[in-house]
Amino acid sequence: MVTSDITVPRRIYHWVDFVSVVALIITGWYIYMPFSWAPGLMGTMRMIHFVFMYIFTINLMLRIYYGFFGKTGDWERFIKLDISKDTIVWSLKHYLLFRDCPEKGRCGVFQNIAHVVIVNLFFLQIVTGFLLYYPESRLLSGLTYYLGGLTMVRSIHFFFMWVMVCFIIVHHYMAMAEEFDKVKLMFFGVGKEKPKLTELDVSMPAGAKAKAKK
Amino acid sequence: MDILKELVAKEINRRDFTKLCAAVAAVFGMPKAFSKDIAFAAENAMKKPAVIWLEGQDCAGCSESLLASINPSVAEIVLDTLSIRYHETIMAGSGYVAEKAREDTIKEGGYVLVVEGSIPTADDRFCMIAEKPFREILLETAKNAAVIIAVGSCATFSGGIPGATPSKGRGVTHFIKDKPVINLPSCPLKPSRLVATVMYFLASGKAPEMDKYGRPLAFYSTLLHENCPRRGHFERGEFVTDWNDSGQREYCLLLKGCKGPKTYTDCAQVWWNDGANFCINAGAPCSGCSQPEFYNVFSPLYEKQQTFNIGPNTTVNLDTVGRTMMGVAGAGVIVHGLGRLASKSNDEEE
Repeated sequence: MVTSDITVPRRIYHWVDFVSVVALIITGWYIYMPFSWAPGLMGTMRMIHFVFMYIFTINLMLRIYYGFFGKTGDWERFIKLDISKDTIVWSLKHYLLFRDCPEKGRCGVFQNIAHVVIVNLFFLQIVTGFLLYYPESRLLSGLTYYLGGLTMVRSIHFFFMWVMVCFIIVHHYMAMAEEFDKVKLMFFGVGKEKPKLTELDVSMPAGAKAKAKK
Repeated sequence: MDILKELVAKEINRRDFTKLCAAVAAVFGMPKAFSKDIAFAAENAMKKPAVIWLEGQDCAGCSESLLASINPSVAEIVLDTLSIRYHETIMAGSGYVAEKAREDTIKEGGYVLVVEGSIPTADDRFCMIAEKPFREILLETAKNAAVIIAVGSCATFSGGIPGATPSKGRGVTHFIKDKPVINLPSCPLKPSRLVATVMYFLASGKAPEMDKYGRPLAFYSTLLHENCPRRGHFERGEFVTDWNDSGQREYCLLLKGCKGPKTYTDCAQVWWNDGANFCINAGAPCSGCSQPEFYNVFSPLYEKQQTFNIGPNTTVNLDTVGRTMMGVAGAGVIVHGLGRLASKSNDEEE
């Protein structure tokens, strides 16, 4: 029997992450270029940005802790890529030509890459964010220097925001179109997972996967 | 003390002199007792330590800025007591005589070398002095120098404004890697910085504590944005959007391209020209002249931008890049969605 790996802590993480990323993008955009129709909110927007900065950071730390020591132990998701010539071709056919997947659960190359990239991007976003938060810190100035100075750190932080916007667009489309059941499960904890899962198999730890194959 | 007689002649009394020395010590965060060393240094300076002042591709604005300090100041004491052997703008000698003065000083060794202006990298012929490329003059003079101080934006980092020209001017650190170079960027040089650095060097015999860019922490450790007199308007979201609106006169200049949030300088605390004023207080956005990004990455100066520096003279606007990426992602999703619908209806027909 396939049990759902979308446990309650993961759902809470996803909710908090969803809210804080949206808040961070809106307020961050405002800090970059204040909306002309609401110019007087800079202090408020910065405050919100900093509050969610901490919420987002702590949330991610807890999620990583859960990834290592939690029930599902899915830390491999953060770094492991399942890429081979076959899987890339299958995935391309699956996503662009809408073919069925020849081997169950192994057509999620792009999703796999996107998830690994986005988790590491969160990290870099936190690091660059804190460099900008403490611009006069002598402790952090070395890292700022190696990243190319404060201007570069700002540019990196800003550029990754755009990557995250793109991820959100594609992620939402894919989730809604391909796995609406999973969306319901992730957000409200209702509904069943379909047995033919693309994500679950990729996301399962190597040991569990081997067991499932047997 | 000989120095007091000279100072009295210049209408500086003992008390003023002590105060000035203490001020120099305070700039570098040294204990008050150290001001005695500064006083000794100033007194020793009566023995006239030699200074060579080189000018490359510059506008002589840094020299001008230093010479125009209002008296009586530390600057005046130092300028009058240091023996400036070679300075193209102010020296009386010319031709072979002038070049010989420089060569003699190099033979003596142990002088202070001040470099103003950038060094061309595209072609040596962009800057020739006495039939010699300026690059060679710099390397030759730097060899025996006790300390090298690069002043102004042109002589530091990527060469300031000459760095953006076809001559591809670069700063001193681009050529001299084996010796510590004290960078004092800003356009022009802030006189108090050079004077304090020279005094510190004469007093302690070593370069002041510097950051990763070789700038003394005493002047370049605070972010302008954190100390800006217009910061309150920034927090309240009051920005200058129209130069002609007198109601916005005191507002934050961020949207007019102010580089304050990216610039490390003490401008807000120590004003220019003996405390007369500084850019932001005078109503002009900061152009970030004390940063390595000046001038290429920070131009256009009066526009807010977020750029990636992909080459020495090439930048990409990230706003355009981001919007394009978002557009491509959005279009891709729509096309994919339509394709999906089409393939589903195909499946149903089959």
